[in-house]
Amino acid sequence: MKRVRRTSFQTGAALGIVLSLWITGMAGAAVKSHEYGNVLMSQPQNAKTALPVTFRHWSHRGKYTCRLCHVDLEFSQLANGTGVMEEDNRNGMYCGACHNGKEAFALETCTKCHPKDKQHEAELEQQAKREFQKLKETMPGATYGNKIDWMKAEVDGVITPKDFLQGISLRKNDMMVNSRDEPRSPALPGLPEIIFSHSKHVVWNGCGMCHPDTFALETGKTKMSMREITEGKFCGRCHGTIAFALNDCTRCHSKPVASP
Amino acid sequence: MNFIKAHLRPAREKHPPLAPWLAALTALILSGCGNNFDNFLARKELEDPGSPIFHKKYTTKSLPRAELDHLLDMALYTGPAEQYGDIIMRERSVNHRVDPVVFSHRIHRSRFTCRVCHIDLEFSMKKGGTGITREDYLAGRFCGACHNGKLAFSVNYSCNLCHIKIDKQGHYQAKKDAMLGGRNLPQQEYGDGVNWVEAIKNGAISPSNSISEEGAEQSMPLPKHLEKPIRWTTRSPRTLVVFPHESHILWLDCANCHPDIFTLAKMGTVAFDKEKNLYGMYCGTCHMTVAFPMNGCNRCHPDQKNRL
Repeated sequence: MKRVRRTSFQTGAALGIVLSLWITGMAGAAVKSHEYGNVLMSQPQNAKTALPVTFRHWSHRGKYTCRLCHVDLEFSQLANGTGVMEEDNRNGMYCGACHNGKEAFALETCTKCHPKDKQHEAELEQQAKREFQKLKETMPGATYGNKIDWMKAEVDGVITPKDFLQGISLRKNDMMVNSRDEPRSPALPGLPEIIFSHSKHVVWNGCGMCHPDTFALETGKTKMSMREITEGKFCGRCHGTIAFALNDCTRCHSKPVASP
Repeated sequence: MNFIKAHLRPAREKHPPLAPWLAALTALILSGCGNNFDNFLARKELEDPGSPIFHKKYTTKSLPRAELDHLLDMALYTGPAEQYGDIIMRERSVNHRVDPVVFSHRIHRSRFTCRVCHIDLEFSMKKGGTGITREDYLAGRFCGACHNGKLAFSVNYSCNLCHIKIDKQGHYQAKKDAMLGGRNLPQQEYGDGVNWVEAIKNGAISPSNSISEEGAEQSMPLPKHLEKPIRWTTRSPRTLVVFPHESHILWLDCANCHPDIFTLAKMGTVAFDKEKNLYGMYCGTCHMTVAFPMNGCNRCHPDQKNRL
């Protein structure tokens, strides 16, 4: 009887430890400010021979708007959803559209993105961390995510993200742009009202990043919950991975509750 | 509950055949317990009606009571009070032939809330997870954010205040002084010996919520249904868990726990149980290492006695 008890206890212990490692691994991944918004790009066919490329959103989003890459250059919003091939890059698609030696460093300097080995990967990471700290000091601060208030940086003119790439982008028709603020009431009583600002989103995203794929065009037609958002749907497609983090409750729940 | 334990423990050690009198006695005790619990709940409800009790569905199998007892004996904190919450950071120090750093949560938490370091200064909740380097703290990140000679002693001098000799058995001189509040702090019999929540409420300490002069941004108010402690049933049918959001937000931001440790959905953390808590998940993330340890059963299970 004693033996039975001991074994089931040991299995329990092992399970507990494995689970706790898994959970902490998951939770730890999103915390560091210089790693927030990083995307690991790997390709299944050469996963054994090549280490994945770490794409850092923070090094790009000060210079270009979101829609330039995600609409004009056709980058998917899912990690590894684009299927970038070397041939594509050489033909001036995807990364190759800018990384051509004119707009940004050329494709020939492979090892700026592709790590040679594990040690080189760690060196690249260390170097990126230093560059990030240097960038962070010049930018307005935030509490969560990258700890950089990108929106304020854009409004204050600290950064002027490019929205047009010669030969690739087409001129936008400004007549379509909607800059209304949309008030929304949260489902739970006692929480501050939500204010969604079109004008703050349009600067980065235009219309096509969100409509009609993620959000219906008609006001109030998209039913969503905070739970779905934390699972990466609706607002959670960007907020929580790249745009300001979901922890930053008061950025959306911003209108104070009227005291009774 | 201690009464049951006293009767069960000798039975487990000696392995006698299950005597009918023992079964009868157990049945008697259990029925007695039930009444006590119901009485207890009825009394409590009359004094102050709480929030509705959630009947939680558990996805994992329950650990037998005797095994849980065994696990509690192993996992609960029994060390000296002045060393509870100390984190020994040796990984990088030892590589550079410097004594490891002993970080005392006790001294720090009388001055600052948890969120200052674990959100603003980006300290990981996992030992070794932050990856602090000398370059970092000299540039004013992590420890260097306060230990700059203005807010606290500088990282450039007095190295031996943090890098402390530890012998092979793991003994070291615990830091006893430098704690705000001193003797005014309300005492408790387990963990680090201080009831910190009580200490804030009675004004013995008023830890700062930010290291910047303008203070932290206003955090979101609690929604109406979370103002009172939330309550749910445990897997053993006769106990209850009571969780007060209100005493946690004295120290923490929503983001310290949600959505990484606990989901946002109502009773959504389905894999939650006592065993995983004891291994340091969920509540155990803090309540086995820094916040009061689970020896204080009564703090969350109001019908249980503390395990000292």
